[in-house]
Amino acid sequence: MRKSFFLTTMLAGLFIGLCSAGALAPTAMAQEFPTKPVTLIIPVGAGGSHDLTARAVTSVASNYLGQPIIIQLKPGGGGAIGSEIVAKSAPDGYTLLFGGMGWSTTYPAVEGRSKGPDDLMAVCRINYSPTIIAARPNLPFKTFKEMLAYAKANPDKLIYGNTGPWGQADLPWKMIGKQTGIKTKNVPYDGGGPALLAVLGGHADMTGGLVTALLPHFKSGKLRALAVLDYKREEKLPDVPTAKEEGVDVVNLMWRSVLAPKGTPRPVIDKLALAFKKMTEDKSVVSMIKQFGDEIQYLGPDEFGKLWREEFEMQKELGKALKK
Amino acid sequence: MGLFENLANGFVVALSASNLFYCALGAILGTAIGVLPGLGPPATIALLLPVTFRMEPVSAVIMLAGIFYGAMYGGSTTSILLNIPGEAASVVTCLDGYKMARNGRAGAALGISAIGSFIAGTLGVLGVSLMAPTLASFALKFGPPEYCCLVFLGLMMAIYLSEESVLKGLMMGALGLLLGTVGLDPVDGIPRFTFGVNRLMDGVDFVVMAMGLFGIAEILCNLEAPENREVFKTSLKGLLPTLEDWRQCWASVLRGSVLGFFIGVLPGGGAIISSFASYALEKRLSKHPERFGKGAIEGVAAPEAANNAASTSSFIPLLTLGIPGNASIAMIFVALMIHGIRPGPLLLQEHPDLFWGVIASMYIGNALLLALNLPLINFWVRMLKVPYQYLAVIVVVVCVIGAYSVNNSAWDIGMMVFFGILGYLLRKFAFPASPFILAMILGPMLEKTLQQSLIASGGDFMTFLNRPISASLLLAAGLLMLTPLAKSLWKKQKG
Amino acid sequence: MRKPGDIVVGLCFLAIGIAFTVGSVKLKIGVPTEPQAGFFPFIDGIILIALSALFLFQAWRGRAGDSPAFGRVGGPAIVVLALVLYVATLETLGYVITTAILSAVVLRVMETKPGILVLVSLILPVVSYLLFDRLLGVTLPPGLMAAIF
Repeated sequence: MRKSFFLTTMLAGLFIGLCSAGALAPTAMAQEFPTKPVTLIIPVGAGGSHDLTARAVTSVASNYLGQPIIIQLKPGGGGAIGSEIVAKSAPDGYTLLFGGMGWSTTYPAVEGRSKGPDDLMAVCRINYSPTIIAARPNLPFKTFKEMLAYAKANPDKLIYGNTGPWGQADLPWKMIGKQTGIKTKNVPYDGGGPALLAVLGGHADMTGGLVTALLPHFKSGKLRALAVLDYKREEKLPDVPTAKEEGVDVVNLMWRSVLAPKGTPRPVIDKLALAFKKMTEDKSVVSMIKQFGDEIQYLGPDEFGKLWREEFEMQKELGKALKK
Repeated sequence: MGLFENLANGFVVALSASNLFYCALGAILGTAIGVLPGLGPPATIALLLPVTFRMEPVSAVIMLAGIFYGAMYGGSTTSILLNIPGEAASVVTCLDGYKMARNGRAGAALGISAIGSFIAGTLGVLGVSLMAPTLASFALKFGPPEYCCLVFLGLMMAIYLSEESVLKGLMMGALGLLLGTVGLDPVDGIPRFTFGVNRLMDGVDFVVMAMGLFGIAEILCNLEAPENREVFKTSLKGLLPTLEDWRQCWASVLRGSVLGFFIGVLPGGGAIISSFASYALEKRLSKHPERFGKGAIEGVAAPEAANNAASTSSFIPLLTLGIPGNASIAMIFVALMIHGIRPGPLLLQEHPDLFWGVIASMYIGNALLLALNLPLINFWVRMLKVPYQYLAVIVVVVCVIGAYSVNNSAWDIGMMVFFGILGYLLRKFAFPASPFILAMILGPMLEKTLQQSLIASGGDFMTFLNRPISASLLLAAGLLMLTPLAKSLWKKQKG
Repeated sequence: MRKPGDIVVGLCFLAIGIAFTVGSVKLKIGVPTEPQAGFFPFIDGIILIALSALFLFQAWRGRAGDSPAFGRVGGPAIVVLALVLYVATLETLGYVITTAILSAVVLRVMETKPGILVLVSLILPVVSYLLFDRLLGVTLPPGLMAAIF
């Protein structure tokens, strides 16, 4: 009799103990987090804008997070491989993904591969670059509106060089085509460099690219900027209107962000987000990013998460519509 | 006289003590990574990028450029000694270089490739300093139809090289093109023949494939029976090319340099195509084409010269148009961007010091590389005296690490083993591996440019014949294919 | 002289050609103005089928050319097996342990003396690990070794 009472008390004690430990765990974890270095997986190759941005920002991580952030490159499948590794890893905040629009929104939305907002959650956005639509200067139009009119009058005449299927140039051009009804030849090139070369050589008429790559050619007069696909005008191109101003509601922001596996405790996310906010405000980081031709546009977990979700749903619809 | 003045100023920049140091450092590092397969120049340059954040921009570019062309020198070493092409442009060097090493002429092969590279590199830099802007406009003339025909010509050359049988060469070419389509398709980004495996989306990495088809296959063949394993004949005599060698191949070096220089200006597959093209040209011009593939020294000299000249001229699109022609140059582009310098049409006016400093450093780098590589030959040749089992186990380990480092994953080692088995079987049935590997590299380019041409022309195949450059490239391909046919007809008539 | 090996090889090529052609039809071929994903592999596949048929014809008539004979395939087979196991266990066991085993197998097939075999397969993995992982910045999987250190 006594023995069983003893046993019951012990079991009950154990149960209560476990419960309280469980209840306490998240806060205790957030206070302690991080106790070891955090791994940030970049799912694309070395030397690209994602790699550089991530390296610049995390170079001061231990000052603000208390632990260093180790960058691991896991390229493959256009970002799908690294994304899947992170989505499958433990949601404890120690394995993070450097997100990009291609592998974190477009591929999962349009093609159902890689991992999107259903499998990952937002920590924060670091910055973004809008797509800029550029054209050869010797075409019979000077503005975005005139281009649209020209393309309407001459269907399938303009050759648009994109930077690869569903990339920074292809996706917004498909959106513009869908909204305005213009018909053009959309030729895929193997990245921004080849597409730009084709336009400079007169083998294509237009392309879409990021300001860092296009600016020297705008300055030398070899290219003409038609529209910026952002909510606001680009600082370095004050005379170029946004597509919205010209009456076409297309925005395409190639963002760089930090993402975590789904189910990561909120306190951990907050701690990471705060640390990243401070890192992006660090003077040395700000100046490095500036030299890449970019700027910091930090966005916290809630705002960015909402933006990401909206973008994802919008592209899902678009993908359905375009796939016929 | 502006040119000489500019160049003189460039030399002042490049000859400063610190820049000289960075140039030498880059050249040495480049040679080292060129020798170790798997650690390609793009990866190394990426690794060193953070270091360059704190350097002067000129010094940064000088060092990174040194790594890039140092690797070109070093890449031929493993091709000659171990039959492992370190990068795509040295696949051709394997054909005759490795045979030369087996015939006890490793020293001569390494010597001719170092000196040939030096001559080609220097001629290339001379070319860059004289006509960079003109060549940039030449590169701009190449649209999708021209690229498509150039790639086609390159493929035909690889098939022409396979001495065994044209039919087998064609079959391997077609197989390579098919396997090259595995991955995402270039127009719609739909996964093809990947069976849902994410790893296959990007296709197969070149280094992995080359180490399997050449390095691992070679070892598997030698494992068959220890008693009749072919041993290297290594007499210490003939460390350097003889006068007779020079008489045979000085013209090949010059032809290779010129050809490589012009093809190298084109972004994309310039260096690879130029090495195959110069090999095919030498074989075509030779009075004894049957020596090729069996250790002909021209077969090493010409492609090595071509790929070095090409790597020099591949700076032209970067410096004049701001467009990187290959992955290594893209890294150098990034290094410049970090310093707030945007390479492009305005670079020459905005940063003449940088432009001419880099060019002058290339002259110096080439000389340094020659001075570095000639004494190393002795060391490499001695390495071949290591008993084969130790050499083999080292090759296996280096290949495994090289394959792993491509994507930090064991998957690529598995792919390498697959290509090793394939390479082994191909040898057993006397199928040539080089048209296959070239087709796998160039296949995606051929497909992309073909589709670009067709979409842009509205589905009109005449676009290839209406344009003068593409038409003449096609004509050359046609003539090349007809020569073996004509020869066999000629033989029949005679015999 | 007709060689059965050549006919088998020809049939393999033919099968690959047919498989890719069928696969590309499934992917949709499209028309030249709007080529689809299957356009290029379809053309290629047809070419390979034609070439393999020609090769089979030649092989049947015994004109496919010479090829070197197979030697004893035991050695290569063991090393291939070792490499496959290597790929399977690398991430869990770690670089040093698996590489030691692989080196030992290669050296064994090459008939190295046992003493030297053990020595080389102990030194080589450690030295290469230090050289590549520590010095050259290639991250090799630590595996079990991580638990020890």
